[in-house]
Amino acid sequence: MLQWLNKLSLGRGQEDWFVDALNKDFRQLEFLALDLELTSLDPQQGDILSIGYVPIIEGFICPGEGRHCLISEHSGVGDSAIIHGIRDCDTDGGHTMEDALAQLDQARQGKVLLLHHAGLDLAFLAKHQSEYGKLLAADTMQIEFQRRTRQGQPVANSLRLNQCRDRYNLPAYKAHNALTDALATAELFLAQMSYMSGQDEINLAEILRLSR
Amino acid sequence: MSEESSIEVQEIEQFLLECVPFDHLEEPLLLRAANSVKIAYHRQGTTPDLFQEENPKLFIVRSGAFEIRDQNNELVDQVDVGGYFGFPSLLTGHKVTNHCVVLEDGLLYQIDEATFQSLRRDNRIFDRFFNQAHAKRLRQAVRFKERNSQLTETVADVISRSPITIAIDATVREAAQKMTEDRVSSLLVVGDTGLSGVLTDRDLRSRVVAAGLDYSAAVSEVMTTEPITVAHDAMLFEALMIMSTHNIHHLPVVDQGAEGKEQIKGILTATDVIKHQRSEPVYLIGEASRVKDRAGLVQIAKDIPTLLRNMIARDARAEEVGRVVTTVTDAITRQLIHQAIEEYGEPPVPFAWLAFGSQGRQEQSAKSDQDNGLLLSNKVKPEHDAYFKSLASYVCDGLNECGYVYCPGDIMATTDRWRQPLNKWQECFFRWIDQPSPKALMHSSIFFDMRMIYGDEPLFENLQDSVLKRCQGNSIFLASLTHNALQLTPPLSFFKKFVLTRDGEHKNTFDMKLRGVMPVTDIARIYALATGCKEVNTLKRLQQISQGKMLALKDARDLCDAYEFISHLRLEHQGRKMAAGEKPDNYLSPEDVSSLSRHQLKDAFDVVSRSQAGLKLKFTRGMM
Repeated sequence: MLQWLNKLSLGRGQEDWFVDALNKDFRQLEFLALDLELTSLDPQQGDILSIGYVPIIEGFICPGEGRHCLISEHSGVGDSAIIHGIRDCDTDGGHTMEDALAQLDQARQGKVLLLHHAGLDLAFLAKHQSEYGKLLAADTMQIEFQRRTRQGQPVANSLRLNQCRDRYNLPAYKAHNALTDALATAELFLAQMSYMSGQDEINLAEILRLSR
Repeated sequence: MSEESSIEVQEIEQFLLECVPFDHLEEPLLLRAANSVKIAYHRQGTTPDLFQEENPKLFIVRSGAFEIRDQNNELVDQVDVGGYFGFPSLLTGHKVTNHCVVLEDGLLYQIDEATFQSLRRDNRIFDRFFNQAHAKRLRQAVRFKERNSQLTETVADVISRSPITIAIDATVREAAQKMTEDRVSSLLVVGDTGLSGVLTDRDLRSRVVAAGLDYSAAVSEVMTTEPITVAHDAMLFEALMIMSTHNIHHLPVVDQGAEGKEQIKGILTATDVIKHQRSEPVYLIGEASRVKDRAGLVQIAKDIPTLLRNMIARDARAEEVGRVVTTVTDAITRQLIHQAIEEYGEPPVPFAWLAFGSQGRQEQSAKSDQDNGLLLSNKVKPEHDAYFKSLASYVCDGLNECGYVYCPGDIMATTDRWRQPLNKWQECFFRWIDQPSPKALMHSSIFFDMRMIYGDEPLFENLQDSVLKRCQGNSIFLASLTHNALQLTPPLSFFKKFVLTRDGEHKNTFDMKLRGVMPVTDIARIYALATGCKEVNTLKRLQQISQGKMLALKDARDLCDAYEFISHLRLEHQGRKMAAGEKPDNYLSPEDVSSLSRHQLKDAFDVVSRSQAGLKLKFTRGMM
């Protein structure tokens, strides 16, 4: 546990909060489900087009407190528009990266970040703010990988967000934007937690262990 | 917030827009609702602690299925996608005593009390919707416990007053005085052993006044002796059927007590019935018993699909639908026999018209073939055959014209094999019973669901008694029947790995008759034959068998519920087909079933499957 803590870059006074959180059940904690829309899957070449996030507070998703920030600073959406449907003109009135990151920093205070395939999105964020490179986050894709491996189920081609959701009887969402996917990730996380914990507690240390 | 606010909760907003009454909210109110939503996930089989007294909420099912039960664990409501619960305590402020069971994994949206009340205040349609939903829930709670459709009304529901009786040794004058006093048109005459007869206005007129009889004569001299009676729990239309068959207007109502001791409950008159209801089935049955020619019957038969559709639309129990539709068929059959007798003269020897299969079991629905036979007295002579052949042809042709098509397997009274004297029928049954081969039994099992539609009661009882006696304790016969019954299993993996009919026109569907209804029918038949039960209706068989030791009461009840559920689903499906102008069939595809029904269907299949296992254990032990 301590070796992970070493990897953490926490603000002053946050270490105590985190150590305390590691032993708490997920229903006593706050998470921030996060998703990005990107112009490419390569952090070296691509840019962030939008950031969406939804908090989970003590076991309940609060979509009303979610945000969707379009970013105006990027080198063109290119072919990626086919995937996310965001056109260059859509981001014209968007936020600066600095502004968007400041808002995200604000939103994630006291919350554990939650992503589906955390590595990719965190690498993009780390380009702008290096602490994201070291941040520990809960990862629904890794959790699903661990669960399926443990159950002896095949994992190849079965870990995309919608494939995972389908296994928990979660509804299919038509729209694809960072906010919808953040909501979708949050719902998947609660479903996984529900299946893993039953009546028992499941603490943050366990969640982060599975997210590695 | 900026222009982005409309995107913020897009998924939530879109879903709420699909739910009445949220679709009636103005944009700012809809956004207020969507922004207040909190989402939780619940896993199947759990009973989440959702209702907090201090903090009532509106719950909306986003996915999955949920069940609400009260403090006695009675079912209050079942909801799936788009359904609501929790609103009654928001409306009334009363303490919540219900709890929730998760039937299928799903997401629940919840809206807090302050938002809910503000939406009610700001939108009248929203307010009215939940008030109405609350009122409906109250009605539904009653319905879950005790259904009260027109069709379920029994004789006991109609007779209101206690029976007006007179002693058998009273005089005619005393009887007339009592009738005047009590303002009734008939009296039940009671002797030492119970009901002895009925005395009506008409009897006094024709047998006393017109005949010039002394008014001090005993009631027993002028009453109708050994009157035909009706059970107090018989359905109203069945009583009407008896009245019209025997052309009588007064029916004593009796309660066949558990020890076989008859208790007089009252008297039912034709006027009572007519006053009480003028619903279609009763009318149709009455008409069928009245018309004098085949063309008239064909005309009546044309109304059967409408009757069926109406009953399905009224959400009648499948059991009632089966009984009503079969009663119409019975009435048509009887009337055809009457007409044949008028045409060809009185029968030379006693006979009984038998119905087999679904008509025998009183379980007909849409599109039934005819399965029938003629049982003749042993006194029949070869020269009588021409008469019975003509009678059989008249009836079978008539049925065919009425839409009950000729039996593809020729199980009809027109077939020589199925128009036989008692001893030949017995030979035939005894051969099936004594030398059972599963293959032969496959085709003959419907004969064991026989019921007399018309004719000589003792003749029929003779056959039925001898067959039932022969079956009991015949373990090889019962094992063979069981072997056949186990060939048709319910598709247990309905949920994900639906085992479906894979070929032909009905690809990826499940045959509700073959794999849902028939297995239960088979189970009930085997138990009935093993225990000498005279009933042929599946539910009645199960009810009667549960009185004995062979089948536990709880198992029998579960099986009855499962049977009713599957049959009802099948009827609904046929109703949908008919409403769409298509041919009604038995093939259900998974997407036709709501997630709620899917869950109940799975339960029903489990019950059937367990009963099949029990059957195997009881009747095939050491043989298979």
